Amino acid sequence: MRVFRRILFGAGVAGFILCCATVLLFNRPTLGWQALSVPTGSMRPTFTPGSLVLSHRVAISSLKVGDIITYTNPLTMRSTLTHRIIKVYKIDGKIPAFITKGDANPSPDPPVVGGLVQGQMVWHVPYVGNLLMWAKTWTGIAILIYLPALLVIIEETRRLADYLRQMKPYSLRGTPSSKGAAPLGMRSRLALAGGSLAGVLIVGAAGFDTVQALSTITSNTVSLAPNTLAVAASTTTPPSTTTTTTTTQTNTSCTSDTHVNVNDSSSQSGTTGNAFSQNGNATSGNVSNTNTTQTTITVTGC
Amino acid sequence: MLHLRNINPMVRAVGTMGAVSALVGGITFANLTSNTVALSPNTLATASAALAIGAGTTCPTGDTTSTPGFTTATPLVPGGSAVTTNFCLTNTGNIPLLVTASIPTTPPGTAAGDTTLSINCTTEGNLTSNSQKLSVFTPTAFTNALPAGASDNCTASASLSGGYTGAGGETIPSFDIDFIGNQTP
Repeated sequence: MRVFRRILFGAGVAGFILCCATVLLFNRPTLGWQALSVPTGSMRPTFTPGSLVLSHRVAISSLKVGDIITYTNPLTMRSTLTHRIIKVYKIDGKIPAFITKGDANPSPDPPVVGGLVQGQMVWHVPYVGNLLMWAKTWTGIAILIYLPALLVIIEETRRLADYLRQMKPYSLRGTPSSKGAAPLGMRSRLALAGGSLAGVLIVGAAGFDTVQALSTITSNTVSLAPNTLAVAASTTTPPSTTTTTTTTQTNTSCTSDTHVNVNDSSSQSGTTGNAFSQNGNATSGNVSNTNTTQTTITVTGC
Repeated sequence: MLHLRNINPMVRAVGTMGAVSALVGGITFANLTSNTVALSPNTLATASAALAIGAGTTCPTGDTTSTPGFTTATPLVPGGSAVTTNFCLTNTGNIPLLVTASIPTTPPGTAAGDTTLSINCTTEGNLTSNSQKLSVFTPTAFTNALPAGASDNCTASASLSGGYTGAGGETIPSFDIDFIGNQTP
């Protein structure tokens, strides 16, 4: 009997949570999921009136012809429709848009811009939609949600009251012992329980508002990918700064050629190019090596 | 395993009542706000947020969502010039977007730890936290928003620290740089 009561209690709690989650999904999109009832037969034979349709938010760019989407009716902006995409295109080449049609309808629907799409249908269950339509009414909510919640709260309040009745009263050192102190009165217990409940509700409400305020429109993700980088095979460190060296040499012979070469040295490990003075005429040239980006050499003529 | 009976009765009671109250409150709130009333007639454009990316300086006109970035053709030299790759972002939606760059899976290795990534765009400016190490790159937004319908030429630069002590020839594993646009506040 005890095991049976435990199973019954567990099933009751699970059922209550399931009811709450379903009714919540049925009223508002939650975490991208949304439950909707099908009121008409426009999508026969895919699903019938009274079915429950579960849709999930997806990237607009991922939708293609043949997908069944749930979107805000562009004509009324008040109701939602769940129909099949028959064409995908872009308005002005930029804004994604869709042409949809009910499987049982003879003609397509008005164009739907991407922003009106609420999600893509991922699952549907026959007849459950009617049940949830009733669950959405105040009568349904009262029977499925408020009544079980009230029973749970009454039971927990009773247990809490029992616990508080058994508690030893708090007393400061030096004051009469707890045995002599007056126990908590019923008003104090109720005030404590009420205060705790109010605190939880206030924190919950504040959190709910914060979540609402943080929601912003976000685009799809684009990627610069793939990226691969490699380190050069030889990791000799080049000079940290570039230098320019100027060398001047006078051609004293005035008749013969003078060649100026940049020699290897501790600071100049290689050379390319040279400069020379031909028949005493002034000239200049550039050389470079691995340690200097440019060396300007000027040979002064006679 | 934590058993309900072992939880302090006060905590259990407050927790249970809080959870039940939150569920009931949430459902009541949802039911109260689920109906929509219309002030009509109104003509409003639906906000659409979409990004596209193109290679080089060619700005996309379609909905291209990926383009290749860095390649091993130009190797990184310690302390040397940065390796660059050009790309173009286009806001194909109808609202301004503040674009954020991120590397979903940062590449491992010493070379990645010594490699710095910077991204600079003409319109959007630099990343607010530019010049981040590849191995610890955190999502960062650009300085300016990208207007609706606008394109922006960008350059990603990678440079290897002069203090890199590897033998050379290492390859940084393939990684993605993702861009996502957010509605500007």
